[in-house]
Amino acid sequence: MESQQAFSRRLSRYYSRYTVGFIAFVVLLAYAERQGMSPRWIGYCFMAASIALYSAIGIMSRTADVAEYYVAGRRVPPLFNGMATAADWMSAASFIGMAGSLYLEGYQALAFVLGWTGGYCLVALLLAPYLRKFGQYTIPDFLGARYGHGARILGVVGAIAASFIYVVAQIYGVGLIASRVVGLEFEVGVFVGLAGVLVCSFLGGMRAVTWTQVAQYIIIIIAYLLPAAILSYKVTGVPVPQVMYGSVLQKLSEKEKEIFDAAPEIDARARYQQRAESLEARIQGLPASLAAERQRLLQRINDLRNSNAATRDIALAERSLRELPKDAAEAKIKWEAARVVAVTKGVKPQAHAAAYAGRDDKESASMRANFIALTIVLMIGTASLPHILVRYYTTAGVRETRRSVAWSLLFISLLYVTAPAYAVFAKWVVYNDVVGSTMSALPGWIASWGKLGLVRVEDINGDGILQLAELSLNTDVIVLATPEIAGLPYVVSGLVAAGGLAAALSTADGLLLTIANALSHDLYYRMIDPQASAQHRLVVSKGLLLVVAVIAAYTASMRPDNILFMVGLAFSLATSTFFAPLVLGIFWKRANRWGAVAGMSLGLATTIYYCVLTHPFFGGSMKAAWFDINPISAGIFGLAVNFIAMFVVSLVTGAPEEKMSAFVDYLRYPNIEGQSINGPSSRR
Amino acid sequence: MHHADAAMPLTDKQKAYWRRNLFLTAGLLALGAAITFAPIYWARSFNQIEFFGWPLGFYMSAQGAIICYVLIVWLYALAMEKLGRDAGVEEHNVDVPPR
Repeated sequence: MESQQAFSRRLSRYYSRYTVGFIAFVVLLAYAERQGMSPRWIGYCFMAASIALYSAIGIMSRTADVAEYYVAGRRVPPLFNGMATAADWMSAASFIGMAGSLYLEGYQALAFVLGWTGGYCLVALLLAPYLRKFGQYTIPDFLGARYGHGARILGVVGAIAASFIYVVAQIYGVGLIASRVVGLEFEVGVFVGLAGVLVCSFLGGMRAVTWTQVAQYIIIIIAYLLPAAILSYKVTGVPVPQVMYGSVLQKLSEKEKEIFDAAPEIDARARYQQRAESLEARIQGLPASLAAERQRLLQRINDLRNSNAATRDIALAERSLRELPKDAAEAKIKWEAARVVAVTKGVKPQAHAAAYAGRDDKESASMRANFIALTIVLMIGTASLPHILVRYYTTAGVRETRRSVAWSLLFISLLYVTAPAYAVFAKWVVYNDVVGSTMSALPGWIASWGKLGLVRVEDINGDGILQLAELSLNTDVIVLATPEIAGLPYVVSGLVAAGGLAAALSTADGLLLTIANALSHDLYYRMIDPQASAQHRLVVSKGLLLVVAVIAAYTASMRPDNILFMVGLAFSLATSTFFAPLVLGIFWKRANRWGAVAGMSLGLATTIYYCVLTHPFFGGSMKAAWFDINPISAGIFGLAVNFIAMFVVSLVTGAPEEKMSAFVDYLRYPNIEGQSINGPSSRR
Repeated sequence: MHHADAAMPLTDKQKAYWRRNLFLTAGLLALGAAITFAPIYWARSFNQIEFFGWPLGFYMSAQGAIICYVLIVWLYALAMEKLGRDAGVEEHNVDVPPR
């Protein structure tokens, strides 16, 4: 038996060699690029090397042992569990999307930074140590032990709903990166990503996922910090973006005033306003307006042909005709979407650091209320997502779990504290180097990302110069394109893509395992066939993993709209299902099974009801909103209902049995005389 | 299914450990909530103050609060280890369980 310290030392040795090897690999590719290696091949190298590495770790960590498969043998040292959790946590949305949201929304997007880090205070103080002491395999396991079968089933439903939505978003992210970096078809990229996930989790379960996630964390953090440091060095001369962006933010505020009030910008915004108004009129005039529009385009094509206009102009006009909506219903959706875009472009942008700059006090108050609600939902959602909580089952004891949450947050905050800096530097470069260029001499990245539909330019005022209002950037493009925007060598772009891939795959790994385990362990083993042998359980688990992975990849390949809303929904679902029963189960002995079942089901129902009521995806509208809260924060109502229902129903029904009080005491103390640390879990 | 041996009454020392844990938890969470939500609620007033180039409201939500979260979580982990040792409730076996 190897001691924990020796094991830790051995891991440190492996992973420091690996880190050096990875850096050498990047340096080698940088050298190869100078010698004339093409960007496409650099992309291939990064993609192939990452997938090969993850599969190698996955195959080396294969296991047929239940405790190894579900909880990595409960011997992951705190530092490494911290890294694994950080990789598990930082998803495609954090790596690719967050800096982009901060770029586009400025202060308003800080709710994500706060929520996705602050949640770890709740994990550390309210949940992780106690769940580790409980020491079973899944989160529904805890609900089942504390409240019985009803809560376990609701836990399975909540875990699957939240994790499945979330995993689809990750696989979508993999498809996006693969199609950009390697030039694969999006759908092919999705299935390559699927293969990358399966090689890790299929053979080795949590054990393989853990050691892969540690390797992925190292890639993620290097890939995130390096471009930000180079950018900071280029702009300020000091490569510490987290410290230097304060001064750049100050200069940016000056630049913003200058750009926002320039005459061509005001003109461009006015034209977008006019477009919004004319679209509004057309929507009102349906279906006659659609026929009129078709007539107008036909007339225009005729005129062009008769006047021997350039073939290109005729082709453009013909395309507009082809793309014209087929019927009134389609026209309404398309034109409404275009109207919303035009409306946002017609409004003067907000200064980057300005908080709640609404048109009037009422709008500002509503923005503030939504900021607060979103922060709360993201924090509590963080502390309720099962794939994060199970990571704290994998350490050797309660003490190790507390330290491991602390390491997790430290590693996560490295990225989250850099994201706002990333956004400010990128904005500085775009405002200075891109806005005001002539349309014919735009930098190459605008065309290459334009092909993927992530960047759009339009010379609405026809002056041949790019105004800020005429440039549309997708949130995903900021991080992926920053190396090109800043004119860095392609190897940095490849590194960023490898980082994004690692972020999406590591999160997808953890999520898939959570879903498969909820089905195989909680549903099959605990409720359908408790006599199943260990080997049989693993076969069921792996089979389900495969099925769930394929369904998730298939869903992602259909390119669902509203991916950001879906991720938000995952947090709201987790918030309204898990937080109250988990916390009260530890801190309130009087909480009983009826309370938990009522709280979880009413909480979940409230959240879904509110989304249906307010989100256009389900045909709802914000006119029906409560306190003006956006559907992305629907979980805040579910959370409140869950707590209230748990209190009320627990108190009006009987107190839990006597032995439940002993069980709760067992959770509360890392060790009460005479008990081994593995407690009930030593049963296999 | 859970071990009847935990049913023996808790000692005063053990009860004191849990009480201290509750105080520590509540105190640190209150601190975290204050550091998070005060700068959000009064963001515009905070933003009037400049902090090394940043408007203070922006800085707190982009960096200040996150640094505090890291400190809170580390403080909790270390303080609980001491509380546990003093009350004699820390686990003694921290070796890797046999595979």
